[in-house]
Amino acid sequence: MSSDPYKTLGVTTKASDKEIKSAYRKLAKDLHPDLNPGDSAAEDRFKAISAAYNLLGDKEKRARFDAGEIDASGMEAPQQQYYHSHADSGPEHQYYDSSGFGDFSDESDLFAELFARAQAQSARDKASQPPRRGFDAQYHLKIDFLEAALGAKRRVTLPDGSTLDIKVPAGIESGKKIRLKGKGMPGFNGGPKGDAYVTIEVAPHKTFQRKGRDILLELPITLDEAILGGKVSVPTIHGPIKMNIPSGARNGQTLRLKGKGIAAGKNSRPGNQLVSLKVVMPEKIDKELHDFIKSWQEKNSYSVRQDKEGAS
Amino acid sequence: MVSEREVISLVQGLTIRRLRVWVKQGWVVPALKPPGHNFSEIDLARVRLIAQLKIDMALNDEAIPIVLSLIDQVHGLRYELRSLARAVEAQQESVQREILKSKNRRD
Repeated sequence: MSSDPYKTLGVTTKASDKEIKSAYRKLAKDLHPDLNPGDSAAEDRFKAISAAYNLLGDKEKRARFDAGEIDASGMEAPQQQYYHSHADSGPEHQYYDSSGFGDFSDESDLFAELFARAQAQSARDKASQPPRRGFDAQYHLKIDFLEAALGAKRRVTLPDGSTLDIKVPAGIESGKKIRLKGKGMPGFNGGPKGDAYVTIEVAPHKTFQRKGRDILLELPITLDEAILGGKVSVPTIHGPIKMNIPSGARNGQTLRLKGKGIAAGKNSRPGNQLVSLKVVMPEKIDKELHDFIKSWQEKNSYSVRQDKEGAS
Repeated sequence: MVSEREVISLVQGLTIRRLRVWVKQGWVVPALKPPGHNFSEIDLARVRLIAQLKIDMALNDEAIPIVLSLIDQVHGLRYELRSLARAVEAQQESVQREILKSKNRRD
């Protein structure tokens, strides 16, 4: 290698660590022996730049080199077995790819015969390899809010036309993955199939929201329901039920419907539905209500903003 | 054949988690048997190449399979070209001359 590692990397002696790294990175992309199979000049230069980077990429070594304590020799990385020295050996390895000859056979019968043999040979050599597990497959499935809350069975059609039955457990959350053992890509040479992973996306609902296994719902009630109380119908994920509003219910008050959330899971208790009351004034205040409140105010005026006094 | 653990110790900057992700992605395909000792020489060299592409050259995950596939295609083509050249070499000298002549004419 060049005796000056700075020159080898093409940087000045004042270059920052970052500059050295990026200079090395750029050269490595150009010269890496696996990106230039068969080019021994590139391989020699790559050895030189990795030796230089071994020295200058290490703060401590660089300082000692700058101080003259060590020289640039002996920095070569241990002899590395590059990928190309294995991959070049022909079709007996599993990464061999002769698909690039597919169109050659169109040219003439001789071509077809020459390269068909190459492909057959590759297939034969691969067949004598040990079994390998197939790859995992990744899928994405968007489901309704209620399907996620109640659990569901979904059949999806895969790109290859086959179908996959997916059992979505009740209470699944967006982003969770369902693993389907053995439903991935086929194995090689009798190896087992890979697994399929289905990432679930739960669509939002216009009425319900979720917090863990609890279902949250905002329920509008009228002024008279708030004051007098009464039975109202409330939607739940299990269908509408009757709920008792206590007399004197406050705006924002939360009522709990026990067990009306998401059913119990393997490691969790059943959720509840939490109903948050929202008192809605009548659209139009008629004269009767107005006059009543006016006379009511004279006797029962009350204060609610004591703690806000003085706040600017 | 070397084990997963040995691969980790032989390749700088590699963790067991990363290696398993690469196997799952199909970037490297170790044999299933014997269990635990299933990385061949070529698997190890390929892991090292992936590590260098990712760490030294900062390629992102989307680029890796493309680069690997192109490299494998280059090797496939190189191999076939070499065996074709050997086949030419095995012919009589007069045939070799004819082949060279017609090849250079096309250039």
